[in-house]
This record gives sequence, C-alpha cells and structure tokens, in this order.
Amino acid sequence: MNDLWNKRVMEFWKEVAPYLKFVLNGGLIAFIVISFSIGSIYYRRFLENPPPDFPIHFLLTCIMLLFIALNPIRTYLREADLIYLVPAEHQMNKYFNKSITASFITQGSVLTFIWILLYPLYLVTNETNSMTFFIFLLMLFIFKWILMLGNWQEQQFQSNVHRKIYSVLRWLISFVVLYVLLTFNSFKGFVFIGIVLMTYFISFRLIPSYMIHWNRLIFVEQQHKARIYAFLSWFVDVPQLSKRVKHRKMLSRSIKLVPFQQENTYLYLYFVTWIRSDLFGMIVRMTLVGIVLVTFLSIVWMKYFIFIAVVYLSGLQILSLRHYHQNMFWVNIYPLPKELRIEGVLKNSFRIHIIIILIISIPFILTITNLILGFVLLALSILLSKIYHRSLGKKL
Amino acid sequence: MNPVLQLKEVTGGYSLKKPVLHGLSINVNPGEMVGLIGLNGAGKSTTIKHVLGLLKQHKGEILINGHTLESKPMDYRASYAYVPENPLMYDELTVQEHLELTAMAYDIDKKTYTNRVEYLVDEFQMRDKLTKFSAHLSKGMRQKMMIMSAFLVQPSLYIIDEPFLGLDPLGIRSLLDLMVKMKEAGASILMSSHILSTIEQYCDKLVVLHEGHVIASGELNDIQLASGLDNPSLEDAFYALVKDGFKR
Repeated sequence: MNDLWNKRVMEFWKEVAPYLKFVLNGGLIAFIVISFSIGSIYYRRFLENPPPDFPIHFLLTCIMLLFIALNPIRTYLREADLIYLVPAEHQMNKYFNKSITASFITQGSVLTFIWILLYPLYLVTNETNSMTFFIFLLMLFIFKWILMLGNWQEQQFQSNVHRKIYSVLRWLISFVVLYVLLTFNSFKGFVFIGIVLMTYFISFRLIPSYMIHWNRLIFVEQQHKARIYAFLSWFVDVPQLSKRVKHRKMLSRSIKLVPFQQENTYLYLYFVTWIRSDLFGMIVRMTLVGIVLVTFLSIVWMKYFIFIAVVYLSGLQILSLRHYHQNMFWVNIYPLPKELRIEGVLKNSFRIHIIIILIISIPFILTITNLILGFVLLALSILLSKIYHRSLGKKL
Repeated sequence: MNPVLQLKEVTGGYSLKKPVLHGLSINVNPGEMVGLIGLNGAGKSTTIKHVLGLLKQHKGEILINGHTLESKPMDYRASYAYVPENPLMYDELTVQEHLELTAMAYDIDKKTYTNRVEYLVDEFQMRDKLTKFSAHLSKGMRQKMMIMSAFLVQPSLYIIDEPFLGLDPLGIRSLLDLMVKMKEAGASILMSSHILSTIEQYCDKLVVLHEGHVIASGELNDIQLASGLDNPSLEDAFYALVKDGFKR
C-alpha cells in the first residue's frame, strides 16, 4: 500500500510536470516577486509605525484561519479504485494515513512560513519571551492536525447536510481557537481551547459515517485535480481539464444579446461557455475582491497596484477560454472557416475584459486624487488588452 | 440526374501504408436512401469519415453536389448534416442552445429556426429537456438531440451512422418518418446500420462493405442475386455474401 501511494504521487507529478515550465516561464513569477517585494516594504513600514487602534489580532486570526481551517487531503484515488481497491478496504488504512500525513506536512510547512512572516506583527502588541514563537507554532500544528482529522471524518459522513454543518463548524472553531490563542495568551485560554477541541473531536462519533466513503473521496480528489488543471490552463492548453458546469439561469438570459447570425456562431458558443464555466466564478470573485480593496485601502499606491493586478490577472484568466472546445468534433464539421473560431474566442474575451476593466475603474477613479493618471491607466489598460488580443489572434 | 454524393474509386484510411478502403465507388442520388452495411471493421465508419472530410483519401474523389472539399470547402460542408453514432455535445450548452448554435453555424434565420425546432421538439418529445445539459441526458436523449440538430439544417445530404442504438421505439419511429419525409422532399440519405430488417424495409439502395471493398451494391434484388440464394431475406443474403467474402 505504501508503494501504491508513492506510485500515485509520482504519476501525478509526471502528469503535471510538463505544464509547470509554462507556469514558471510566464509573467506570473515576476508578478509574484514584484508584489512580494513591494508588500515587504509596506509591511516593514507598518511594523515600525502601526496605527494605534488597528485590529491586529483580528487580522492575524483571519489570515491564519485560511491556513488552519483549509486543509484538503489528497488521496490520489481514481474512479477505477471503486472496483480494484474497495475489496482491499481493510488494508487501506496505511494508504490513507499516508495521505493525511503527507498533506499535513506540506500544509504544515506553509503554516510555518506564514507564522514566521506574521510573528513580527504579533510581537507589536504582545509581551513575549523567547519560547513563545515555538510554543505557538506547536499549538498551531496541534490545531491543524485535529482539524485535518476533522476534515477527514467529515468526508466519511453519510449525509451531505452533516458535511455542510461540520464544514461551517470547522471554520468557526478554527476562528475561535485562533482568536483566543492570539488574544488571551493565558492558561485559562488554553483550557478553553482544549475543551472546545475535545468536544469537537468526540462529537464525530455521533454522526452516521462510512468507514471509508469511497465515492466522496474520489469526488473530492477529482475536484482538487480539476482545480489544479484549471490553474494550469491559464498558462497552457491542458487537455485533462475537466469542466464543472453551472446553469446560472439569470445570467443565461444575456445570451440573447448575441445576434442570431452565422458570423457570431463562436461568439455565442464562447459566451455561453464562459457563463457556465468555473472561469466565470473565478473572475467575478477576483473583481469583487478588487473592488473592495480599491475602495477601502487607504494607501494610494496600493490602489494602483490592485487595479493593475485585477486587470492583468483577469485578462490572463479570461483568455484561457481559448482552450475550450478546440478539439471538439463539431468544430471540424461546421461550414465555417477555422479562423472564425479564434476570432470568436478573442472577440468574446476582449469584450468581457473591457467590462471588467470598466467595472474596476469606477471605484478606482472615484477614490484616487490624480484623476488624469486614473483615466490614463484606464485607457492604457484597454489599449494593452486590445494589442494583446490582436497579437494572440495572429499567433493562433 | 447528378448524384448528390459521389465516391469515385476512393482508396483511403488512417495511414498511407495501410489503406482501409480499396477503390470504393458509391453514388447517392437525390431522393434516395442508401444503406451502408457491413461487419464491424468493414470500413463503414472510415467511409463516413472520408465523406465528412475528416480523413483525406489517398486516391479517388469525393463529390457532394459536384464539389470536392478542396474546391469549395464551405459549400461542401454546408451540404450535409451528420448524425454520429456516439452523441457528442458541448458540456456547457443546454439542448436549446445546441440547437441555436447549429442554426447559427448553418446560417438559418431565426424564424425558420423557430418553425423547424417547434416541430422537432414535439416529434421527439424533448420539450421538457430543452434547458437540460448533456450530463443530465441519457444516451437516447442525446441521440435525439443529434438527430434534431441534423434535421434542423435540412441539407441535401444526411449522413447517419447507426442511429437506432439507445433510441426508444417512439424515437426510432419518429426518425424513420422524418427520413422518409425528407427523402420525399428530395434529400438524400446515407445511413449505416446493423439493424438489417430496418435497412431492408426503408432503403432504396444498399452497399455491402467487406474488408474495405464493395462486395455488392444496388437495389435489394441485386444484393439477393449476388448472394446466389433463392429469394433470401437481406439478413440471409448478407450472411452468404460476407461468408463468401472471407474466402476471396
């Protein structure tokens, strides 16, 4: 079973490796490095001179929450395992333990990194001795481990309702535990945390569960993989890209806006595809976060930074639509020239991108003082998008 | 009368070294339904792929309404509609959107589209499925969706690959009725199937493929004659022919 697990991990990386170089080649790395260095300057300045009533504990809790409450477990299971591995269920403990441990180690290292990053922020408000860093790190590991096991148990639940309740509960408990830990560094606080976590852990016995909920685990694994491929597809064509489809009935009405004409066939196809795909959710979420940040951040250059980031990343995401349907059988059958597909893809993505640029521009221009620079940036974004779309049109 | 579809001495297949089809000649005239029959691997699907223009023949010529794919690609493609053996749908589109997309691709105006779809939707009992996605449809319903798309176009040539599997009896009846109706209106149909009784009953002409060769073609009489049996059913004649085929 140990060998099987190792083999699965190897196979996964073999599958993903060819795409990674495209991710590393892209502008994304430069983007991350630049934002990281800019961020660190800002962070240092903040640490030296923190605003007096800034809710540091609350912020710390919210950031740490992501790394404590989110704890996906990769099992590398496949659909065929329903036939071949289910009969060996009683021997699978080793395999699943390894899955949980491996996920814990990866996410634990990220957690450590984040804690190193945030510790100075914690120091701003708290008296500490030299051991606090390590004691807290140990505590964080223990929370993470318990919540990870909690996540594993959740997956085995028979009913989806229980799963949903417990998933909310997991976030809630993570939040409370973190907040108590960071705010009241005291013995009473530790006792309280201990009681909460014990209760949480014991309560799993009360919920009807499978020993191993194979279908659920396979579904979760597939979704996880789909997310990885969706990310990779921003950079390169990924044939394994599996698609989840959402109807979005209200929005679907806007499909009627595409005129019923032969030349719009692909515009229609890609517009519908966009509305129904995961891509839509990603872009909307990012734009919304962008709007909130641009509106409420008080540091001006951060606004500029967020504006540019949203324009750049949304362009990157929307263009991954071009990988959809390119191997679809019907595309070769329609009495339409091949170039019309590319044209349709680009026309559709350009229009959507313009709309995103305009939407993010509204809070941006309304809240900055240098209006001229604001409009110049808006015009420049549209122009660059146009140039990029055109150059892609030639390349494809 | 010029044939709608003409295969002239077509040799072809996936690789140049190993052709699957050997000197195939088939004519489909206006208002004619031609049945393509043969065992698994006889070359039916390969023939259809050549006609669709997905494979390029090594030798010979394929004409639809007098045009080759090379000479007038858009006219060639616009002249036929295809019903595949395995329904292929876009995951993101509902049934209705598939139909609209097809109408747009084949340059059918909105009014004509509406008229034709209204009829087809009732005929195939798909009204309550119009807003469903491929993932929520059974194989038979997806097959109906493919058939509706093809008959929405009303081209001069229908290419239909084994349409009956997975289709419910009402669906089969509707499909056959539609084919007869289109045929009477002057369209041509090339259909491949293993359901010999249906082929025998509905097709005007038959082409028996065996190992990439046409071993018999023509009307039912001609096939019966070629089999050497005394007034056999198509099934018996077919059996006799392909058994012979093995000996050659």
